[in-house]
Amino acid sequence: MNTDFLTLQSQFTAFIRNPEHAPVPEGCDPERMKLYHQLFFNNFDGILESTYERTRAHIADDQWQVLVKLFFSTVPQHSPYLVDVPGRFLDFLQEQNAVALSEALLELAAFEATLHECRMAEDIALPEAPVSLPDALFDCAWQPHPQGVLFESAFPVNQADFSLDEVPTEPTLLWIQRDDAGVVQIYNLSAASARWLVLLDAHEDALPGQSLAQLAHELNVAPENLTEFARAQLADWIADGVLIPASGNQHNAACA
Amino acid sequence: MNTDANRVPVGVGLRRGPLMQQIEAEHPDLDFLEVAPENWMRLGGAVKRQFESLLARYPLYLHGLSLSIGGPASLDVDFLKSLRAFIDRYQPVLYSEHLSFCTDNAHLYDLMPIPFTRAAVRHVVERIHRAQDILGQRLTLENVSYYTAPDAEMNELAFLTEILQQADCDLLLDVNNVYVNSVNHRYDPVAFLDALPIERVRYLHVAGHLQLSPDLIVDTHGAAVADPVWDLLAHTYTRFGAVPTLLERDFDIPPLAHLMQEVAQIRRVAAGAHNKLLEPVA
Repeated sequence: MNTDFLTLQSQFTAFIRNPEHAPVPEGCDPERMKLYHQLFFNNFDGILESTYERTRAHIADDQWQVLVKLFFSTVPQHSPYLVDVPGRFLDFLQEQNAVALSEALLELAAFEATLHECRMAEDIALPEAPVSLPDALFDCAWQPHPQGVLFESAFPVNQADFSLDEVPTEPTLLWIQRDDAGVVQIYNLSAASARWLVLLDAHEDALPGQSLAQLAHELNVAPENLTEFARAQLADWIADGVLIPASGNQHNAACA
Repeated sequence: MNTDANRVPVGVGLRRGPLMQQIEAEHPDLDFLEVAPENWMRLGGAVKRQFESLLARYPLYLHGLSLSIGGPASLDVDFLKSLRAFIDRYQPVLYSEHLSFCTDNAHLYDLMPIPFTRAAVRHVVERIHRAQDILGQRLTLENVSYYTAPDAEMNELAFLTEILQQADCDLLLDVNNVYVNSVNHRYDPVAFLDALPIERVRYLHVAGHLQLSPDLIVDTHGAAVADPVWDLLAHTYTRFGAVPTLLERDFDIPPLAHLMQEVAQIRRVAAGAHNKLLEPVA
């Protein structure tokens, strides 16, 4: 034989990725090489179909095949972890031009990708939870859980039967986070709640009153008018684990 | 747990979902659990706690997917270091991988046969040494199933035994793969088994497959173990002894009770082979 093994390997993978444009590797059976292609392709397709189940349901079979084949044959996967493939597929969907996808469908795909990432997220070290009393909510510094995701969409992507054609007047704002039992929870947020979460994240060293004052300023209302809203919202978020004690904050010694 | 010294240790693959929940709830009579480290190295949350709880009850075997020991690109040292940390933390009985490649310049997440050439043997042996250095332990490599292979300078058996000898590593003998390859490439599976070095066989796999045509079988891990593989397993125990054995099932996974029937069958086959060895020669 004249061909070195590295070339043979290159021929082998080239055919698996794209059997319509690559020659059969030297010495290989063409039909069995097609079987290899199908097995490998099915492996990719399987994890994408299960991750993007709802997005997939809105795309015609032939269009989905075009997308997955193009992704499989042209997008190199550098992670040794198969579970990272769906994230790369979202990037691909947003950049590709082969199949026209509506904005609603792309946002649905982004939503499903976020659910996947939350489900698969590694643990990270968190500060000890203080024993918090309702009256002390404003005396501790809180931060959003670092594994939670604030997700914004023009469409109500969390609703199974949302219309892809109608753009609601209000955006959909969600907090997505895996709970202690391993279930990914989705919390609906008002515009004010979502903005406050962003401010709490930006001012994690400060007591909640500071970010609340900024929110009141932005909403053009008196801070005291937001007190009841803020108290209820803080209690809910803390109970749900959406907010955790800000790490290393000087205010929090008194909360423990 | 196994208390009979003559009983073969048998395990099943641990997968997230119903099977994991059943094992957690029922504590079946298994001697170990096997996981693909790539699917568990970045665990978090409840599933990580469940995993660690099961490891308090069952020994762990690791069977990797992404090392690509025969791949053309450089070994992924960062990945190997993460794997080493996982191994150090969970102390598996052994870590095994596939004698195959699953990458070119990127991952394809499935197994391809390394061309059976002398240069490939040298390439793989060098990479095994490097991987063993980083992992701090011997590698145990599996003979993989394959459906077609590029032009070769030697056959599968010569390629496999040459690598085991030159790299001084161990063999995960997949009995189903021997049978699948013997049909797909028309050789005698018993002769193949008899030619393998006994001292290197540390671990066995058995699994189900899908026969597409009289001369083509796909290694699916999606069905019960087939009769010819049970026969080959009996011969394997006769030759290699009661080597720890995994029942592989990755697709269409039946209820645990059904899997345990196959686990019991593995033990019966091993016991039968053991008893046969003890029979007086006529």
